[in-house]
Amino acid sequence: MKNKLKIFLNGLIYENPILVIFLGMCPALGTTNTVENAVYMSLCVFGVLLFSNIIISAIRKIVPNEVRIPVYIIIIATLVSIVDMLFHAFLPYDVYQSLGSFISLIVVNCIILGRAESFASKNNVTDSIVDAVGYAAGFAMAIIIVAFFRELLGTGALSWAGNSVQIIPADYAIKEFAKNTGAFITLGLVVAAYTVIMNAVKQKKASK
Amino acid sequence: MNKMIKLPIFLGTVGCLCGGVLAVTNYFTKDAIAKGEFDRANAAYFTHFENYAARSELAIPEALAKIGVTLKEEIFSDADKTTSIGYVYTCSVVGFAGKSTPIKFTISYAEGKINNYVPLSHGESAQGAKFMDWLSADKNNINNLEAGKAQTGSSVTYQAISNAVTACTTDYLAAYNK
Repeated sequence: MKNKLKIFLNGLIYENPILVIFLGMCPALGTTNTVENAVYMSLCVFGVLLFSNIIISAIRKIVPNEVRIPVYIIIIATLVSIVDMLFHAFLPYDVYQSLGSFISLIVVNCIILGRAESFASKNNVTDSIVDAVGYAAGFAMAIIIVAFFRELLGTGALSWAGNSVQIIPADYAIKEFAKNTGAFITLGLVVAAYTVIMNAVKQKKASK
Repeated sequence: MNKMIKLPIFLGTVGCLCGGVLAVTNYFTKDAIAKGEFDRANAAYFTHFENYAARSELAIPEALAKIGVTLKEEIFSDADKTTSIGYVYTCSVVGFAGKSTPIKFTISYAEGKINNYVPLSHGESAQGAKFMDWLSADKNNINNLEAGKAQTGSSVTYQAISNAVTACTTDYLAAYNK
């Protein structure tokens, strides 16, 4: 059980894919214009990561070493296509449209292939599931935090399913945060803050 | 077994299995996707003309079909189709995303000019999507496409839409001015 917790916390905190390892930067910058988009992107990545880890872990002993990467990519691409079709069919069209090409880009998201190659292909299915949940949770946490600040500072409001709450008057919103430059700035500041907090925690643990 | 035979067979098997799974998923989602597109297209008629009641399909000239016009319809404000209020062209053009995800939109005309533009679906990049968001933001923007190209910098998307709009406008005006 302790081992499972360690695997989970690794993905969530110590090796957070966005804030520590800097994988998956493209969706972290492109889909964090609103919290709603970030949540849906997190769900996409969670689904693909979970099922790719399960499948790759389950077949790890029969996949020839020479073709393991093409096999992983075929599996990941299939899962992404399934997610894309399901979102297109069952999500509100506005949401599906705003995620746009970022769903397809999950195929080349380094988090998915990275975890498949470095963890799922070498561990059992249960551990791979925990690893996928941890990394997906870490990814979600990071991009939702970035999206929260970008949407709040860029528009002054937070919105969900067409309903929005104006928290900062629109006149005081800094529109740059809603644009690409704001995405980089916000992500950089969140990473910096996260690094400061983690260093402080490490120092506290070391001094005990 | 010889590796040169075993590896391609293994890869082919994985590919076929994945293809099968995708086919099954497509079977269960295609109706919902088609219904969504149908509902959006239907709703678009009311966006174009508030008093839309009926429509009549017209023949599409070959030149328009080549550009990407898939439907040309006359719109009526009554179910008996006696009072014509305008025309709607449905277009499917190839933008930055390629043929697999064309840009689909409708453009309407009334009283000798462009009435409105309603996007249906697309798979464009963020830049291309910006151009289409700009088009949708203001009814008058469709009459000033060059400004949109300058604002968003999405030349491929702009070109695809611009060619279709120009062709539809020429076709409409040729009939209107008769």
